[in-house]
Amino acid sequence: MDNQKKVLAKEALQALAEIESTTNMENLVKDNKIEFVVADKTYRIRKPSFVERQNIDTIRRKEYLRLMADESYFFRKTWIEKYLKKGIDINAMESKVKAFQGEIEAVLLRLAVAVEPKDVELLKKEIYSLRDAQFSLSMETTDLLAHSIENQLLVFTNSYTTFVVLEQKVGEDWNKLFESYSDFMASDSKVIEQAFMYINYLVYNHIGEGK
Amino acid sequence: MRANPLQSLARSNVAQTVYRHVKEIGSIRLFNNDTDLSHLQILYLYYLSLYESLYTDLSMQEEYLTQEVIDDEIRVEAYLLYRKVNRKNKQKPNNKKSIIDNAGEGSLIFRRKSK
Repeated sequence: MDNQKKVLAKEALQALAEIESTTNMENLVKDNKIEFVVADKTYRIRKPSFVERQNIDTIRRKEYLRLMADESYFFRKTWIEKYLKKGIDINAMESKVKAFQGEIEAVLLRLAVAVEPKDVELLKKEIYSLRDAQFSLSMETTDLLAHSIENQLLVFTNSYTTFVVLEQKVGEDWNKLFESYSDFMASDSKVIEQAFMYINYLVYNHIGEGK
Repeated sequence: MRANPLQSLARSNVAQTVYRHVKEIGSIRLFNNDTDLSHLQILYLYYLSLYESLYTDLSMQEEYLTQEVIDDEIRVEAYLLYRKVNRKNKQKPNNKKSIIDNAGEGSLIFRRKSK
């Protein structure tokens, strides 16, 4: 295969991948339910109903009180103070993430008025590089604060919501997959992995709403 | 960088045509559910209206906007920021004037009904 054909084949493959992901997206967006298949069995997650959301909110409040009562859990603010004593300044890291945004926007404005393809490519590369650096720093702060009460509550809420809305198709009916949250937590299946991935498509993150 | 499939879908001719018809003809539905939209559906609606505004700008031959820009997500982001900054700058000196102008004519005047 000569070079041109290789390039064409690569482009065709890329286009195909894009069509596939767009088609998949069309499927995800058509409804507030998402069906998926694991080992020939069909599962779905759906947006929780109003009553279910109220129930989730009650459970979340109880979990919040539990975390508050546990002395090994700290709020984000306390973690930041603890890290500062160890020489890690999270506030400074977050300021740097914001500063990156300012730098990115300055390059974006230059890109907006760029016409020459060479300039366009150079500016795009510059933006990608700044975005990578911003993302790495942002991930670092997220990791450092992973054990904060706010973050733990967010993880818990997402897990509990997934437990509430995860169903399996049996004949024409949809049955709840797990009877209890402890069964759900004890299970380590690919179904849960997939459901976790999709839940953020349905429900907006509850961060900061835990109080 | 990998393209955002939701954005690609909203940008497509088919999606834009459907969106236009949904807005014009009430009986056409965009989603199976009419209420209780998912996070993804809300994002999709945002992208649909965003690309609709870009295609409008394109038809108005707005500066620095081409089909090539619309097809490139990062260039779209750049154009949107440029448009926002530009609009803000255009509004600044005229702000006071437009308020004064509006007060002169065409504004609503509420009067107490005479007995």
